Amino acid sequence: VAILIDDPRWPAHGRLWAHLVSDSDLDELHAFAEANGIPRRGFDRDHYDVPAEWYDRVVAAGAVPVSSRELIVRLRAAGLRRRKPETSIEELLPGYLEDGHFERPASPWRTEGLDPAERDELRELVMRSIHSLPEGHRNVLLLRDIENLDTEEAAELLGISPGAVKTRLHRARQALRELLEPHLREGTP
Amino acid sequence: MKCREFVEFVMEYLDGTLGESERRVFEDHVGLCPPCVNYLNSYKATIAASKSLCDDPKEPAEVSVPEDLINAILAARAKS
Repeated sequence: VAILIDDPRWPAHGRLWAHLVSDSDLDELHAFAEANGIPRRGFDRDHYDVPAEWYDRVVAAGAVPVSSRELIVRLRAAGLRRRKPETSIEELLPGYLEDGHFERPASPWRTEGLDPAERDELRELVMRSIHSLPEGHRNVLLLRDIENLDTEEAAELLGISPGAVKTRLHRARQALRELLEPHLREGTP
Repeated sequence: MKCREFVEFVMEYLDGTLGESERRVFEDHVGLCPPCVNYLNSYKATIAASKSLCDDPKEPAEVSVPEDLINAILAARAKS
């Protein structure tokens, strides 16, 4: 029975956050949070979001530092994992004005010259963003861009047409690009 | 060409499967529209970021490929 916390490296609202979970039950998690002044509004489905500056204090209070991977594995093993409801791909595609121009014009990105810590952060951000794609689109992206299968192989495995693989891949990439943009555009810390 | 059409053509442009006249219209638009240049570059960076997930040998990609899909991939690889 343990309260677990991962590294505070998840960017949101201009800060970095860690995830705090229990590997046995939610009551234990809520009690730990309350005893340590972590507000209930920081609870999201299966975890508390804990700002980076509280990390040392929360660890000193008994939370066990683990990797994000281990945190998810133990949360799943406890049957406490609650995923976000799936968003539709349409909500993740770029928006356009009536005249066909971008609603929010794309910005230049800063993806070159990252230091190792920034590369790790980018890697986690990309994994988290891929996770949040709708399953049908996520699977195509995993097979084509990560497993490096060609269109026909992916189509056969998924039982859909090569045309559908192409459409889904392009939409999945567009959606992933939209999810990454706020974190990677130039001038983002 | 408007940004909306430009985005629709991005993948085929990068795959080299756009027809000659469409490619010319696409490239003309790139020359005129800085947001679309940014879009094209960030679309390429998005693909590179996905591909880089399996480049790190110390930590293979932690993306949840469903188990039946993994088995299907393994079976397909065993066949080839």
